Amino acid sequence: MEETKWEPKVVGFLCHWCSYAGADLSGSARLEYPHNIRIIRIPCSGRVDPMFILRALQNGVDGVIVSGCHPGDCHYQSGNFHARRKFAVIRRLLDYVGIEPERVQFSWVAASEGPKMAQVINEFVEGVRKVGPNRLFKDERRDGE
Amino acid sequence: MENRLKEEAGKLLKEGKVDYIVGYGKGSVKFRTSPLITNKEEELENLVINPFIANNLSRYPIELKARVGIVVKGCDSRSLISLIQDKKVNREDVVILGVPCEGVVDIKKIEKHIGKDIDQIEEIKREGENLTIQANGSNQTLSFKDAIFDKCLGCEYPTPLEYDVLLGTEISPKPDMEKSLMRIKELENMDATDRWSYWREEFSKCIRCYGCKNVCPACFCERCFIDVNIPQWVNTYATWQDNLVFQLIRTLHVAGRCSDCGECERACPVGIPLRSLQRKMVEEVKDLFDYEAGVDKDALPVFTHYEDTDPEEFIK
Amino acid sequence: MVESSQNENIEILTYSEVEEVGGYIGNFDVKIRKKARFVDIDKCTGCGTCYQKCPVKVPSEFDMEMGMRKAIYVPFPQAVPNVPVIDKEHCRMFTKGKCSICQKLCQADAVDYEQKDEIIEDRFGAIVVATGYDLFDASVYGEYGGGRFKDVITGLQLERLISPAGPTGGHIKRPSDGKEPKNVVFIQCVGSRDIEKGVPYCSNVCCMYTAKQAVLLKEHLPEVQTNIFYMDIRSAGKNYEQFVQRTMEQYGALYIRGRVSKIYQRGDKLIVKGADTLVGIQVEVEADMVVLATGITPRHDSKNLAGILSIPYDQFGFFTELHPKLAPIETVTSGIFLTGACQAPKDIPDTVASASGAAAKVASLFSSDEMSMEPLVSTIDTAVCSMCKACVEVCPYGAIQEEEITLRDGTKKKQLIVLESVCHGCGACVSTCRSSCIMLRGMTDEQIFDELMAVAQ
Repeated sequence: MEETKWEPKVVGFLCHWCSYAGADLSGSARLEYPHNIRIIRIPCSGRVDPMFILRALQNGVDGVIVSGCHPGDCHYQSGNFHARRKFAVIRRLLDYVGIEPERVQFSWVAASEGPKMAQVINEFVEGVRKVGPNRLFKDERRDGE
Repeated sequence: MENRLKEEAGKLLKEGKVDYIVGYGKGSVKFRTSPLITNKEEELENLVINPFIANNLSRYPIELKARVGIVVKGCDSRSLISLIQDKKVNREDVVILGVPCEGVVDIKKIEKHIGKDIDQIEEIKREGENLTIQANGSNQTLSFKDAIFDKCLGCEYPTPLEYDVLLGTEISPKPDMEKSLMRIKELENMDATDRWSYWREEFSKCIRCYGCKNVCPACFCERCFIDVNIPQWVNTYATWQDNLVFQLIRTLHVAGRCSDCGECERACPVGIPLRSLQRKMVEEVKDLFDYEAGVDKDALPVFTHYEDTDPEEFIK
Repeated sequence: MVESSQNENIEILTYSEVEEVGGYIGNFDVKIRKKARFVDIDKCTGCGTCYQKCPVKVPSEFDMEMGMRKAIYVPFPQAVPNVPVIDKEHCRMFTKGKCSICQKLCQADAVDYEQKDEIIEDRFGAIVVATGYDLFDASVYGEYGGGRFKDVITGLQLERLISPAGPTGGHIKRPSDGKEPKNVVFIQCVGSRDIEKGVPYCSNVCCMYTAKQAVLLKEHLPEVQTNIFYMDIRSAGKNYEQFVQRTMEQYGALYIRGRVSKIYQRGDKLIVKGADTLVGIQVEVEADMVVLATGITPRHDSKNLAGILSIPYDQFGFFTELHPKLAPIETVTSGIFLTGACQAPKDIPDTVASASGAAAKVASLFSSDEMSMEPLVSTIDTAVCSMCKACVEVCPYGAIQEEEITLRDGTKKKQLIVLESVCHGCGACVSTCRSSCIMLRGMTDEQIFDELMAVAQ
């Protein structure tokens, strides 16, 4: 295949109240972030089931970023605190089985932090670009699909 | 200890304090024990306590749905405490018969050490710090420490943490973490690509018998996520990727409740080193949240509670 | 308050504290402790003999400790109900076990030293939180005397001196020697907008109440000269700026832009040293009295109340509204509304507006038997739930509760249900449920999963 044309494909789970609004703001402020990210809106970072992250990686996504409200700002009071504990162990577990830590990123971005959202996405996509295509998990039998 | 157990168990049944006794009986395979569950006093004669009582019986009170007198080792008591924390077992409904335990013999290790199959071994006897193994008519000695499970080598709670009757005297812990966690340390020191290849190889062996989840005391769900098909969390055809995803999710589900009883690895028919995954998470949970599963029955479960000061240096 | 007390639909429980709140919008189960006041409300006629004859004198909290009250007292003349209360800490019957003068003199036989706290448990449809604020404690400022000088008072103390029902009967006399002050210094932003010793926010009301007090002082004592040290004059509000201008032009208040660095006593005068930053010089004012415009802080027990109500609060302890612009009265817990300074420093018009808003919110809530909710609500598949109750623990709203049902064969079974009116749809329970038996309608695992699969292609 033509390696040179490879572009990372990353998924972002952004919480409705903070990070999604932050991404929206960065758009309306005409800030640029790479088109490599596909954003899935979720109500709260606490809604993200670790299974989503694993399944995304397994199905050929090169990186997953989950972003929620800053601690204490959660619209639902505590969702991001619960998420924080889950994310901490997921990260270490994935590293332990040999998945590059650059592929999974978490961030807190408030609705007012348009520039930060753009910066976080930029840095994340660059990090994923550096580690290259996610071939690890990919099911060879599905390559033709 | 064995006689004391029979006596106490008999009393419990006679006085009607419990409906069942759950303990160890002689297994169908040589040396091994299997769970003995009974409500008849005459069957209590078959109860045993020996260096082979590997099974973690703490799952049974959930399934029996009755008052149970249960025999537990130190590690099993932690599983039981976890189940009490998870509200699956009522503390009032169990009478805990605690067995202080110096370690359980791993027959596979003996087979490996003396180079003989279990069928050729005639007798295994404990003499002080050593085991005398009689195989094909000749005797061989092996240090007891070399014959017990890896998890037992690092055991920090040899005496049950929760009990109503303690069947022996308390044992002070002498954990040898270096030996117990050797494989985990080896894996940690590999580079990421090698780690990935290691797990890839291991999980290619998986036949999806689900022995690990069926034996695990923390896997008590009425329905496992593996059986969910809307959405299909894990594909039904067993590719190694799906096997790994299944086990990773299971690992995350039991994280913070797993007390490293090692039953998953013991149950695995193809010998995947599952304990290296689970125990790794035990270490991580301890490191991140200063929490040990099954140590305090009044502690708040780690993944349904949080602290404002939880680590977050990994978050941007 | 008197008017509300006469409305048959309003029951006022004074001297009472909320101890527990359970339930949900429309069905809050509230436990209230009605503290023992040691006077029977039903018997008392409000004649006042008891507090006239009580021998124990205590500084009055209502008069900001500038006057005295008795150990049995009515906190202020318009109090509702107009029934005295006994201060257990000072009453001789409680401290020494003898006296009982009030009991002997009470013709209605209303005094009862044996009275016990009463617990009221009732069900309410909505809760409006209007617990107000605390005053910033100015004693942290050593440069203003740190509480050493009698004639350095707070704005609220001056308010009592001006009040006809206050300790001086409305005559403005300074606390140290009772003389009428001729030269008064006001210092603004005491505690407010001070990251070092105070709070970073603006207390909102001080600029205007200082201007008002300067006007009232001048009206009471035409000879008085008022000097006001300020940082900025924040007079945003209808007619506010005109009022400040009038204070300067018509009432001769001297506004000095700058901070005060030191106050010290010289004879019977207070010397106030400060800077006038507009002119760029040091100034020294020889004052008879200094009034500190102390800021507003959250009530000391606001975090405790937030816990009882399960509503969030900000870093200072003010309760947080659902949305700063679009839902300024609602809280994240539906059915609980905020009004007044418990939410943020507010002046009277703002407080009245938010109180009217809260009342209207409650009225509209009660106007129909049914209410519409966000469709994003969790449901539990009870057939496969294993009752580990992890969801119950992560739910920030207490929306998941246990209920007992009777099966067809007569056996009882416990199961978990989601109270739809309480669930906010955050989905924390869904991701916590290990057996995937909770579904968040409108944001199901299947929906997100399909989105993910489409994105991954």
